[in-house]
Amino acid sequence: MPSPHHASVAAQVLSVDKELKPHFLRRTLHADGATLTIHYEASSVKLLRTSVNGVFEQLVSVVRTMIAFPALE
Amino acid sequence: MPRIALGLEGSANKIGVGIMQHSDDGSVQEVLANVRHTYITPPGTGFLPKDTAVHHREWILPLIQQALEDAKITPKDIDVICYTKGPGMGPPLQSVAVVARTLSLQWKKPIYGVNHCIGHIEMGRQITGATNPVILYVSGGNTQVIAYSHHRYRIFGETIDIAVGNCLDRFARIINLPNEPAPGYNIEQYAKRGKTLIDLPYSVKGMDMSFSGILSFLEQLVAQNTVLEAADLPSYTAPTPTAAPTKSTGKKGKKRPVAPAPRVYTKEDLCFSLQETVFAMLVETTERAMAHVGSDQVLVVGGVGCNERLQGMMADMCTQRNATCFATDERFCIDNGIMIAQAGLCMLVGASPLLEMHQTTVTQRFRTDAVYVSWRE
Repeated sequence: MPSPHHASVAAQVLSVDKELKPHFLRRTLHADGATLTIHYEASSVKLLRTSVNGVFEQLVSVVRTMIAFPALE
Repeated sequence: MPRIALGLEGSANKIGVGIMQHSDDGSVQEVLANVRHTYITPPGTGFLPKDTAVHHREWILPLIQQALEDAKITPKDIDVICYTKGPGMGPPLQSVAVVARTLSLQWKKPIYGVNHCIGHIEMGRQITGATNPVILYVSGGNTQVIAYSHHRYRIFGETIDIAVGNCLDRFARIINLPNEPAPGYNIEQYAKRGKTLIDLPYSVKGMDMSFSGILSFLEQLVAQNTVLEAADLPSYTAPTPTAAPTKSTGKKGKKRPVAPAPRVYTKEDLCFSLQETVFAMLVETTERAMAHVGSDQVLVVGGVGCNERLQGMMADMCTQRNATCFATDERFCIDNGIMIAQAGLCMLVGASPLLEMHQTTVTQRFRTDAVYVSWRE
């Protein structure tokens, strides 16, 4: 991510929505410096693919929002 | 210090951004910005959740920018960020919540999750000045008759299956009316040119209503008969019936049923008949609630509330009861961001608890009476 602040915001925003089938797919996010790590445990490749697609769409949305509206001090 | 709220709405196919300002004592309430974009699909189709979310993600940032410009404020001036928590469609709701959360963290502003129905109600009350009306909330996703009592907007009656707007929208698809600017709007224009009232099922169940039966009836009617634009009627010639291949009397002299000859209906007559029927159902249930509650005010909110025929029928009923009918125009009837900002400011005034980040979820089902209306007596 562009900065630790970006990684932290993304981790917080994307952690709010719970996965629909926690028994079959688990996802955790955390920010370490400017690196955003998304950890997946999934029972099938298809579930993994759909979740990753969804999370990336949201991640793009978060980053675009942060670019359009910079942080206020 | 005036209070300013940013409202973000995206529960169905409209993405709306609004900025509302309340004076210190709440006596002056001003709309600073109200912008919106609608996701419209081709005729004969409806909007699907994922595609709608894609549309909202594409439009929300430019709309927020436009709203800030219209309001002539900067992000620093905003006191609270309000987003639609529900009810509505999951992916679109979520796409808006993600932006709301990001802005809350970027601008370090508190955040409220607003009930969509309450947004409609509070904006309707603000714009029309209705003090304590029975509310008819009618849209593509919701159909409820609501009255306020003891800190709750109580649902007196509602649809037991689909919303009236959903019935109208799906019928528009069946007869291939365009979705631009909205299917209901086009039904209304066709209905104005309708002349014949077709007998359709009328389904009021006490305080509640049912619309899926009338839709099924119409689906079958359209499938089994010929439907034309009224303009095509003069040039239409019925196809010559094929020579009767079956004897009308079968073995043992039993008569076989003969399928009725297909009739010709015009889209105009069908639209007219559908409106007259479902709107009468809405007026009946609203009147019943008014009688129960002893109210002399009606407020119509929600996208279907734009319909002038519905407004007219409601006004007629009110005149007969010495009551007043309030309605708003398309800026506020149709889903918008300003109503979310307005409800959010009401919540702020009523000291409703702000949300922690982990609470800023969305939900497809969110009952109107689940919200504690702290800002009213």
